[in-house]
Amino acid sequence: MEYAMKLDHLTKDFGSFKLDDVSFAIPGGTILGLIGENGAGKSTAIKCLLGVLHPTSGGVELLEGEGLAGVGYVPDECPFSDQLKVRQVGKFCAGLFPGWEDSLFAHYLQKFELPGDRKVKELSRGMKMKLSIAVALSHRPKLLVLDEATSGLDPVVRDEILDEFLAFIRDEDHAILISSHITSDLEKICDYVVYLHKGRVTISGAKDELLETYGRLSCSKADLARVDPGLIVGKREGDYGCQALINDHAAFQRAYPDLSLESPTLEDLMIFTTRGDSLSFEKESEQRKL
Amino acid sequence: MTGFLKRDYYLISGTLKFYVLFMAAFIILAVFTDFNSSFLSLYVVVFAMSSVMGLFSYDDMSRWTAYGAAAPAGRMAMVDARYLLTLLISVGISLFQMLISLLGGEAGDLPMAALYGGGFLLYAAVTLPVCYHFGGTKARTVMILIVAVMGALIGMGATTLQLSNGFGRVSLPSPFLLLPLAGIAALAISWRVSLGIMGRKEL
Repeated sequence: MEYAMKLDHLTKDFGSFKLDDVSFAIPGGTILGLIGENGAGKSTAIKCLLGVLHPTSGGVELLEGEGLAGVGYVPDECPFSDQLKVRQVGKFCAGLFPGWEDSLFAHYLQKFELPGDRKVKELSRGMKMKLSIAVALSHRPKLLVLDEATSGLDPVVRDEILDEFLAFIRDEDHAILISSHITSDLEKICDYVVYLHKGRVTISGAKDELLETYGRLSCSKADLARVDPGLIVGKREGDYGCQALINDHAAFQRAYPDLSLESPTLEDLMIFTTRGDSLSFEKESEQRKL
Repeated sequence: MTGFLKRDYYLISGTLKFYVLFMAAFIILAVFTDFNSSFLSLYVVVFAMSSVMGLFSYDDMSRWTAYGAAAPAGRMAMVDARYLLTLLISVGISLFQMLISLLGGEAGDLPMAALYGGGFLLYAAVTLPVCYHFGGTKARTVMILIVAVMGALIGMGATTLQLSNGFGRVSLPSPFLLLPLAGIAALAISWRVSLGIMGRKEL
């Protein structure tokens, strides 16, 4: 299988935060979603991939033979100064990216309804993001790297942008790495998911397989008490019922045929894994008290 | 590199109109007063200095440096472009000084042009690595200190050469012609230092 990019045991140590031994790859023709809470290390991983940060150890393989020339990068904030006009952005970007096509840029400006004579400061956040995407697509990249590109956008603009990504991925040579904490967006478009939690890969795999492997349990306190703790990733206990994320759907159904599981969402995977952490912490604290 | 150079040009040209208007006002004033080309040239030098520093602030505000470093040409081309722009501005300053002192019928136009062009290069040779190291915002504070020291040295030099009265009307000694060469040498060292800073920098 050919990969558009590969992170191999990537580690970046800042002292106060460490991106720790992260490995994943994106097969051609697919979209990989990098999820995780704020500060989990998503942007750090992307910056290491793009050479903006120097990894402490580990390696990055990027589009054999093309390197950064084949990458279209969309950061979380529009990188073009407010004083610049949209048309000027296209003019200087032509000198930055090999393979730049003025006609393609003009096509995206028209498609995204971006007026060429307007200054960047006069654009809304959604329009600025569209401008960044237009620039990223106008040099015909093979890999799109999007760092929180849909954050802060209204659902209509987000949907429009997600459609653009799906159109891009129709070419089997293309691939997308998209990081976001808006998991509903990623659930719509991703083939693979990597969940970063406190700098480490906690869950990774094909999205559909993950959502089939895990299960979401809603039950009473008494029912939850009899479930093998080894099957529980994290749980939420309330006065009127409990919810838990189960790590092995099939094993759980064999052991507890009277309890039914629902399909989890990516958000469930994130929330319950984080809660699982606090659960372990609570257990450790209780043990220390005893 | 042309992309980085064009971006810097577009950003500087945005404020150019404002400066040209100011200059036009000064020229009109000069018609009614005793013409002194140095005043205008000094104004152009100050504009050039603040414009180069301003580029780093624009970089900071739009987080451009990280984005530019992720472009295929990369961070080194970004540094190259800014140094080339600095060199071009210095040539522009020298040509401007020569032109207006010729128009004003002043003597000693060549050493004076060398003083302004070379002086600007020396200033940029100090400023650029400071900006690359500290970023545009922090560098302003550091540069205030550096400019104060440089100002004191220039003041002392001017006093020694008895230039304080009628600056711009006197013929500067010919060694001033070597100032651009000193500026270019300083800029070359500065360029190497900036490449080193940017090569190591985490953006």
